[in-house]
Amino acid sequence: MGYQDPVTRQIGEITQRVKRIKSFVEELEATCADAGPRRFAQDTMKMCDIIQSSIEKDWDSLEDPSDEQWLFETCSGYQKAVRDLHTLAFSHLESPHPVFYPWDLIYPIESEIRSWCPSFSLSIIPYAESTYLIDARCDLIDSVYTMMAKPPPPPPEARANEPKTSEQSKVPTHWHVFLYFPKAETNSVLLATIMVSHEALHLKDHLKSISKTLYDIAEVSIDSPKVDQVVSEILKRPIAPSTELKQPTTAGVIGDVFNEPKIRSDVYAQTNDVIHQWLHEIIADLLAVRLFGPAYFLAFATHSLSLGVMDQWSDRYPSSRMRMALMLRELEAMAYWPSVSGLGRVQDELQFWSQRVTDQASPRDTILKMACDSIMQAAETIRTQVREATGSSAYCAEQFIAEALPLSERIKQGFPPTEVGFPSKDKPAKRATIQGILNAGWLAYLQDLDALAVLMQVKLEDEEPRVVEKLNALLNKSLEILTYSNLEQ
Amino acid sequence: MAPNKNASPKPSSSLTASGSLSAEELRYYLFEADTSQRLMVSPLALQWEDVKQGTLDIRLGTHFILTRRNRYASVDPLDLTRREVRFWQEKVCVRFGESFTLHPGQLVLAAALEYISMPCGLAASVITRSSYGRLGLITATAVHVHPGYKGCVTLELYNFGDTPVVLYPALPIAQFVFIHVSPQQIPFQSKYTLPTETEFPKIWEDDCITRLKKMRDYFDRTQKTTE
Repeated sequence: MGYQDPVTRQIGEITQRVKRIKSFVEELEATCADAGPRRFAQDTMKMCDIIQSSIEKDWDSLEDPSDEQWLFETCSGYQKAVRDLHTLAFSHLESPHPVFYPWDLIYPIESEIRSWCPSFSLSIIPYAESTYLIDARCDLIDSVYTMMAKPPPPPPEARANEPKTSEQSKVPTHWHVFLYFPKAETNSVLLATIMVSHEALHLKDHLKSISKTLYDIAEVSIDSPKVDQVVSEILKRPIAPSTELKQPTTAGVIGDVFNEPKIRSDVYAQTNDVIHQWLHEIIADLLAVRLFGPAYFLAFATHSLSLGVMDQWSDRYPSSRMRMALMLRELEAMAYWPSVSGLGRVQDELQFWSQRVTDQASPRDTILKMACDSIMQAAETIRTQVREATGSSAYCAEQFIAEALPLSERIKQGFPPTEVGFPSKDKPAKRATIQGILNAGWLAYLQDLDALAVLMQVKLEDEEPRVVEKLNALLNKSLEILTYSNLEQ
Repeated sequence: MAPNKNASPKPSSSLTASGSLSAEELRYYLFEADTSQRLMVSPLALQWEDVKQGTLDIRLGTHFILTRRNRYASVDPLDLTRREVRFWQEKVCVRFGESFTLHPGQLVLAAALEYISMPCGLAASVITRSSYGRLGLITATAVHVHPGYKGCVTLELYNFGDTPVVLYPALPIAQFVFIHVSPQQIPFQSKYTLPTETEFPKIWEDDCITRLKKMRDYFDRTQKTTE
């Protein structure tokens, strides 16, 4: 099978999903005697046909394949349509499919994090028809102990000359993070595990106060002349006439009501807020990409394509393109680069994305634009901080080649990627790491699906979802074995 | 391929013998340099005492399939469809450290924790370890593992004692006894490909089901005509 770029793959995946829904609905129509569900099944079939023909039409009429924004939006539009259809099809019927909790996926993550934060736990709660709520929590007892073990504070007169007390002393006793996780992706180890890791790594950021130490640095890099420009623009903006006031107001400008220092401080405050929010996300991304290597980057890219947030900016989240640009720089620093041989198809993927995220679109909103610029300016410092926090535990290219590559060979042979090499009489085989398993999974997903299809005696073009499902099952098995081995020790 | 220094020399009897594997032979297959001929097991918990007996322990996995007895009066294999099976059976996951109680007269499907890849020259039987058999537990009713099989074997657990038995994931309740297959066979093709956990039955995929259904329908029709 030749290389397919992520966008083409996504479109192919949508077509496969439609096919899958169709086969399920066909089965329902054939076996169900009741008129209601039969009618519903027929309608669903029609919707499937519309989506499928629409994809083909859109694809054929594509004039400029380099128009990435169009590509990304089309892709996410169809993904959403299929997801909705999927949910609808399964919720309207008396589904014979039991709801599985993704325990297997979260075990290994939980046990990995417990190695540095013993009180950490993840729990899964069915939230809505199509979503789980994953609740990550920990008692920050460790931090409290560290705090208590510190020498007593200096006398008040000495404290007056001290810099501000660190945020560490205000650490709450509980920490929570909630993640809404689509049930449709329950068994997708490739996506789910890595996304859960991102949420869990917010904890590491919180414990090590990485974002907080960076607040000041990013704030300093806010461009003052740009602020001046924004402030003067705001001051000149006309006041919108209020409909509530009975008496007509003399139309004025904002500068008549608020003075310049007030507007300036508001602009700074708003930009700082955005920077703070974005920093949390960026730090968790960079931590994840350092700890999980290309697997996190690839999962993130696929997820972003599917959700359609590639060029979406908000106060809470920077666009995926910006996040990916920062991650790519980090991967480059970790010696992953398209020119490195031995990365297999991962090399092509990095190449694809490095061409697409360099020329990134900037947000239109002036505040967001300033936040974006100041973060990009402070990028080097941010990455240095993250590098210090992860230390030697980064998953560099050398490890990827030594571990993920042989593990992907195991998958090709229809065996879960649990061990690197083979055991001998005197020595057990080297156990695979969670990073190795996930990266091997991505490698197999990108280049070895046809080998797996041969083992399953199916044609890849007809049964791709089943083959991917099997790949996920093999990875899931490896994670289970890894968890067991960790618990046994 | 370079010879594996760690592997035991290939036993001379292995090409012709058809009995169960000795400890020496088992070790040979476990450490065979040629990976296509190697007996691959993961996780491999080598209890040398067991290997001495020529057997390998099978530990219980984490997924179980239970029957919802309240939903059906009886199960007719000819009428089973994927939907029916999943309505009649349910899958549960038991975490490591948690327990699962098997009541007298209850049948559940479970899977081995071990994922195995059988070489073409070997077949295996799954047998209950005697200590668990003494508690009233039967672990497998379909005991044969074909040459070339890859996956986690399914265990059909049945409590034929009079006391509920508490089970835990990773409990070594059964064992593999390996036998030579001579001449070597081409890998067995099954409808359960590369299973990693216990799977729902797929009786409807058997060719004979359609034929038997036709026979039954014919019989029903003729009976009605006679009446």
